Amino acid sequence: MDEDRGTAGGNAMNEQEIGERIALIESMMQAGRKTTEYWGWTFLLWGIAYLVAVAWSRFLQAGGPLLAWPVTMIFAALLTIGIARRRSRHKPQTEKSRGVEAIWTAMGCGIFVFAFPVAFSGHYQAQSFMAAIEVMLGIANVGSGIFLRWPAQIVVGVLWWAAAIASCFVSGNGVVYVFLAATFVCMIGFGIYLMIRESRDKARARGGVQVQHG
Amino acid sequence: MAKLPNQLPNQLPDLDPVVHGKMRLALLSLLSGVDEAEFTWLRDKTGSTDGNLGAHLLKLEEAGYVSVEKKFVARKPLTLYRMTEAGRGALERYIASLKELLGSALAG
Repeated sequence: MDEDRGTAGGNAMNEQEIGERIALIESMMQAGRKTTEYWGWTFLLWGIAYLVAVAWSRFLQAGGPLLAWPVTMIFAALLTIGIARRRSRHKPQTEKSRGVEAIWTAMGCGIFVFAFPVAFSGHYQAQSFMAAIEVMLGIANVGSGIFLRWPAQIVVGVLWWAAAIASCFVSGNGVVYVFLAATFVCMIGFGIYLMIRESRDKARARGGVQVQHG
Repeated sequence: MAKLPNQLPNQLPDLDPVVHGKMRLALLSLLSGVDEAEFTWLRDKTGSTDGNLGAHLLKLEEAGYVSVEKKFVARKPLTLYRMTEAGRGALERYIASLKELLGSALAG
């Protein structure tokens, strides 16, 4: 490589070269940080999983709610882990991605720890149960929204909290409708919005920076 | 573009030649934003060839600016690179020097 030639000592560079190097540093740092931020598919996947669980528990006789929710949620969790591993293969982890992952993993574990004992203990009460789940979803969204300084996700979290409040004041059927409405907006709608944004980002990145050799 | 004023060489900062190479500068900048990165990811991001990338990473490793970990995952070799504290310091000093140079260039 002869790219080192003639560069020892700052006075061999002109303004253009300095500008090019600063632009290279900025673009590479950005490329590194942006690597693992694409999670729109998880919102869509879990939104669909919620819909499947609701439909199964209400309209199918086989198993009913006792089987519908655990089976759907465990299947969705396994699918999430599998897809996430596949997608993040060969990609580096950043502090930011680790932070967001920590929030969502803790929330996911929290929901499982809470939901299964309540469902099987016989102390299930629809309004408070759904409100607790919605509060947890709100915490994760607001938490990662604050962490990422991303107002859209904070709004999604606040909508989950609004759904939690509404769940406390409606009938048994109303709880399902509130949850479905929140799922459509905060999971499916938000997931689709994210995936559109991601595909735009990727299209832009395809025409992105390549290091010029020499 | 005008050259920087040659009559002020002693007042201008020296640039670290290890960091100054475009490819190595790109690699250090990439590694500064991640915990660790695979060889293949670095290759994809820089658009470099295996041989060229390996040579530059070796230079960075010899300078103590990156550390290397080689392991096997599912029987496949995996080479991970991390930026060291020395590497981070070198990149920060390089950026500070560039800014200083740019200031001198604009003033000159």
